[in-house]
Amino acid sequence: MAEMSSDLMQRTQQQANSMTQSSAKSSANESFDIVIIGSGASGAAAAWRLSRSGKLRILCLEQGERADPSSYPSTRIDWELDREQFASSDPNQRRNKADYPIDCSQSAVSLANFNGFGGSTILYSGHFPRFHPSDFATQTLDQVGDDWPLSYDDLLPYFTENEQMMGVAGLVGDPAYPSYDSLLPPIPLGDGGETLARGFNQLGWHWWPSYAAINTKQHGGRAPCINLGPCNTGCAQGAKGSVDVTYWPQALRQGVIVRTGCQVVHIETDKIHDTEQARGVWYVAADGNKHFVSARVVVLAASGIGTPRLLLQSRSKRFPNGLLNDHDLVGRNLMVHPLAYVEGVFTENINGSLGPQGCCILSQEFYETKPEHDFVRGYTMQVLRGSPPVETAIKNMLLSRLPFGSSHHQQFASLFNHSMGIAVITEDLPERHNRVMLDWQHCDANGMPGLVCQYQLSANTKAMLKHGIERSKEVILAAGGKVSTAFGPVRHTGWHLMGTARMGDDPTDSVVNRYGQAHAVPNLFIVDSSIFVTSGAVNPVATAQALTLHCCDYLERNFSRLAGDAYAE
Amino acid sequence: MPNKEVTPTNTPTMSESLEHDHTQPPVDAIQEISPLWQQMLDTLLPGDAELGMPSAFSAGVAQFLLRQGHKSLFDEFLAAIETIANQKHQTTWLSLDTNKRLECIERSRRSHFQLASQFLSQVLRGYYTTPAVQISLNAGVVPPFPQGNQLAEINWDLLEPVYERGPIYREVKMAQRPFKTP
Repeated sequence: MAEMSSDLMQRTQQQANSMTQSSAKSSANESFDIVIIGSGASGAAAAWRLSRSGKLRILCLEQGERADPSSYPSTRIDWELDREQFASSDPNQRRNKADYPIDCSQSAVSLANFNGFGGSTILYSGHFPRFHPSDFATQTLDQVGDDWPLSYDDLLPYFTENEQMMGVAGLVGDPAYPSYDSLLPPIPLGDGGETLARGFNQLGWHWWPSYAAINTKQHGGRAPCINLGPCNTGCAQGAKGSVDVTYWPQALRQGVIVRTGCQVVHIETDKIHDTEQARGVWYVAADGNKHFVSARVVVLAASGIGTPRLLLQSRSKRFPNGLLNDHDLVGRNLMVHPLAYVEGVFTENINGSLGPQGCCILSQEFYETKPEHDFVRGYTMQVLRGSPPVETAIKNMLLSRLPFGSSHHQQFASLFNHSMGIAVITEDLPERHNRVMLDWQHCDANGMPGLVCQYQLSANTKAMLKHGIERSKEVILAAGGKVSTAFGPVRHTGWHLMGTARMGDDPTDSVVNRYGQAHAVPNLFIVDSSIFVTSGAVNPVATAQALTLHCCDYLERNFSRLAGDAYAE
Repeated sequence: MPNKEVTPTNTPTMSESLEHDHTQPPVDAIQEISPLWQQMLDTLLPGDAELGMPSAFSAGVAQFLLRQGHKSLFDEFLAAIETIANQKHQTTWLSLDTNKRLECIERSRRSHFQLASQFLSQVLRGYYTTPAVQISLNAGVVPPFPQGNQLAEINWDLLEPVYERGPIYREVKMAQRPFKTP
């Protein structure tokens, strides 16, 4: 890596050597057929799929701890306070033991995540649309980005299977998608959603009830949604499809072992029969001790930033610039869906704050490339519920729209429950200079380097954000409201982390093949959104998990062959 | 093992809402609440009988600030306000009428932007998370769990014009597909 000083290289190599030496001293190494790194959206789906036959011994290592739904914020009156603490999506603010520092001072968007059992699904909103057919062929269709080595049709059975497992509400018949087979009943729109739906209708634009990983009736042994509101602070009802309550209970029953508080710090490889093979992983347990566990196959699912972090950290003689980084691709092509936000205030009380916060309706009127636009590809308009009380008060106070003194309450009453928002989620195209790198200046609790994010908006993205803001304003006005806020990019919205270990058929231009199998280490698989080739313009979890199932289907069917060499040592 | 294994028997269950008492600061902290706190808080957020909103002090915002460790923030803000009152009116903030008090507070948002924003945000946090205020707001059930909120069924008629337009997604014809999956 050109950016890495020789001093840092030396330190890194020393650390790698230290791991190897510890390995030699260890006397009682454990052995599993498969070790999965990360228990989030993709790690959970992988664990479930790979354990279905009951034949494989599988261990999942998760660096964070398990959250307790009985203490989620929505169980308390002052739940909004927790959004800046436990339930913050900013690891630098949350500062749990499992969180690693992320320096976003060189990035237009700051990154968000949650490190714990269930990963970021614990705090996501559950908005769950699929990628579109065109998202897999942007180069062929629009001469931008790159084509995926697979298509929407290839993923279709896995989309369906995943939606069944996660419990996805919505409505079949959406003109913006090929047909869905079935969905749970849609999330109620509420007065606010219907108000904006009328605005879209007035303009003749597409809208549709949101696809939401939220039970709207009993499904998978889980209760239906009761409209608590803040899904993105954890769902105390268990209706939201976070993987701790969807995939994991079944995967655990199928025999998968999960260890929390265990941070993998190194993936070890060795040359076996002329092929570089993964031998296992080093992890630091909650007590601070290092352990080695050997594996016939290693499956990496640590998120779009956690995965490249571990690969870059796993240096060796064979991979001096980081595991699988022969072609300087690991950590590059980061895509984050830059987002704009437009809010409208309405004269009447539309009970805007009631209902699942991130799931109401969406519009894909401007999703596909159109010749009249000054950008290629497009964006989704995701309608959000109005802000809760504290957020309403502070936001409007800071914007000087909410006075103190005797007029405060009247003015507050005209704002709270009178607003709805529109998030413009833009398709982010892959660019090599957008990346994450190791940050040795800021390390986590176990001494593993944090990350530096370098991310710039492209001219295409800027044009899209501008277009999306103007169109969203039109919707608010057509719905009878006044535009109260309109800006983008919104800084702390880097939830959707993609592209940092891309898939492809050409080993010089991709890290893994179409099955998530590393080109350079055949028994190492990456199955999370790191392997996305492009980003689409929708929340990525539905596609990431479908991709995981696709990859693991291949892995399980070919396990004997893939693991044979590694096992025969 | 030194780490924790997750098993089917200890997977999370949805228990009932925890009963937290978030309204009471430590006893010794209550003694630190001077009449000045009441004056400041109720100048910012007086009660509104018509809307059924309590004043900030009666809602327990002073206790909230103490509980959250913001006593020094309050003192710093008060010092800034006193400076402004002295400069503009040559008197103490407390001796001013309500309008002039609010004017000083408004000035502080320009002269001491960060301090004022921080303090005023904490006051709003405290006020809008107290039970009396939340109930008066008609903000849905408080706390949200376990009772939850009811929303009306979707008005399906709204979707008719969207249906009528027909498909808007872009087909990717087989010939355009970049690769055939083996």
